[in-house]
Amino acid sequence: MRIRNGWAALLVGVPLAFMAAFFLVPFFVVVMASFQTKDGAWSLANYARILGDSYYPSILYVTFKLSLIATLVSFVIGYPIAYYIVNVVRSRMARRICYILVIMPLFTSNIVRSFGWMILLGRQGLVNTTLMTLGLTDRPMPILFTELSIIIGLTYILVPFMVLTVAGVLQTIDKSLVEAALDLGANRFVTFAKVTFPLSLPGVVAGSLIVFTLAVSAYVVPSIMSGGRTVVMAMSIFEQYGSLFDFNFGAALAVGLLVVTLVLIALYLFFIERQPAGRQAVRS
Amino acid sequence: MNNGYIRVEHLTKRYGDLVVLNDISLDVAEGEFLALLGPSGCGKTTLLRAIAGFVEFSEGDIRIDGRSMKRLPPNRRPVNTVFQNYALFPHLTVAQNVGFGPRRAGKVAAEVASIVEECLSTVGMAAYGERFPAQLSGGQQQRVALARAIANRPKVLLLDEPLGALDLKLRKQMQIELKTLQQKLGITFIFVTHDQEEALVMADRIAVMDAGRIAQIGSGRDIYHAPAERYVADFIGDANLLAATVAADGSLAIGSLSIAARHGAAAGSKATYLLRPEAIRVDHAQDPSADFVSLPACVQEIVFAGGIIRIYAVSSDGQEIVAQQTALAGEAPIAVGDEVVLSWHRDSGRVLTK
Repeated sequence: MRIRNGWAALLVGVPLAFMAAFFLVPFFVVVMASFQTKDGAWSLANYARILGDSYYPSILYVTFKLSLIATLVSFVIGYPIAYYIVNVVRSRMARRICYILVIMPLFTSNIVRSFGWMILLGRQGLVNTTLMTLGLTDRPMPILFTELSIIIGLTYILVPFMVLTVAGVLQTIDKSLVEAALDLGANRFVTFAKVTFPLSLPGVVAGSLIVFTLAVSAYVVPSIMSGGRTVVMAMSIFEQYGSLFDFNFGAALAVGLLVVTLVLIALYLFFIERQPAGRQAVRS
Repeated sequence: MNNGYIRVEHLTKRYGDLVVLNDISLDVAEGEFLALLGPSGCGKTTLLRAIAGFVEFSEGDIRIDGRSMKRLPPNRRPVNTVFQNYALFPHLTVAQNVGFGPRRAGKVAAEVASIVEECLSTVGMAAYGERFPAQLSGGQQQRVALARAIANRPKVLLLDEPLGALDLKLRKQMQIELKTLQQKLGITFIFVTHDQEEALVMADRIAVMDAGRIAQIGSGRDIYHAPAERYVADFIGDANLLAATVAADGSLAIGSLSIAARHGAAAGSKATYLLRPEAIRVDHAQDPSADFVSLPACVQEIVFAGGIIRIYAVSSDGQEIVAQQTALAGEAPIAVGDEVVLSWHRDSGRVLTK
């Protein structure tokens, strides 16, 4: 059945109008505000201030460093889980249960979840008491309110996105390709390295982009898990908007974060594209 | 036969209560072209996959050149497979696909390159090494899959309905090419197909499979002219299968006919009388020769199928019989509704007791 043109226009138009009203318009308002002073005069002063000393560049650096580590850890944890669910779990029911377990972390609110981690990671928390009982350490290790705790908190909520994206692609890989590799003399490990993994790269690329952008823009987890001792960009931006009411400078920080993120993503895709196996990954 | 290069010994495969392969024994000689023929679900693909190593079997063994395959993983068996959907690696070029096997075998780059070139030119694809599989037509992918499977110089090549996805004309061309290639390389081919014509054209021997067992194994001529049982006669070629009863004097009673024929069945037992359509002559008059069996019938329908015509008739005692004649232009003396005499040589009919 063909959808008539009027209906098609409506079905496309409504989401488009929604996006325009609630995404594009605010976006341009923010971009314009970033090029204005408080009096409304056009100026590059906000950007000059960001680059003026090392404070904001260092926050940017910390933000991207933590996001990159969280993305890598999510990949290292998420890929084997996705592989296990798709290729090892046989029954459909068990697979469904696995997916539910994977997205379980997303069922609770960000704030509750982060406070949960505080209880686990604190000086008297479960992790430290266990380590001390086992005699692995004499004194409680400082885990909470460090960059490590931010990475733990971020990874915990980001792994599901990696798992779901990678599993989606792993599922589409024809099983006969794996058989063909075995048939031609490759063992299980070589088959994975030469066939399964390269073919799952589109999922890895998409998953890491999702995880990375979510990590860069995360606010609640870093602000609770850092105890204010580490500052990431989202916290700085919120501070400008929410506490100091400097909408123009806050806008400049937001645009700066966006631009640097886009540049990094572009570099990442460019790098992947140059790999022979990745070329296929980016195209598909 | 004790000189089997590939020996399948009492192979049984069960999935729960379902018996997919039921005590299969089979010998294949070195350099032979064997077709596994049967309808879908008869176990032919399972048997092939068991030889390749993708299916673990419940009982029995498979030996290749005397060596048991029982505990050997697919990557260590001296066989290669051409998969039904070709299973070419989409992220590798044609040359990398063909070189995949030799590379795993630890050959150096120069050696791999020369093997790739040789295999690709064997299948007439030498100019396509740098393409990706997605840039090739179905027939070209088929050739690349073949080149990839012979690159490791396997002792046995397993082919799982490799021509199924090609159109009729290309399929017929590839049948001849495959057969020629097999003779040139001298590799043992085991070829799975549900297409009886494909099996007859290509194979030295055909194993007709039915519900997990081999119903008959033999040359195409044997299976066509001397089927061991009703199932095989019905599966290969067109056949008139007439219900017969063995009379007390050993002759066969088929409807109103009584035919003296050789068979091993006891008096009173049921049998099937096989009559190939091309063995039946259709005339207006009775044939006087004593060697011919004749049966009056009425023509119901005539089908023109290019080189041949098929005549559907009902005999005076109510049996439906199809006869086949070469259609020569201008020769059409028989029309629908004609009263005719169907006749065939005594020796052209065959009694099947199974």
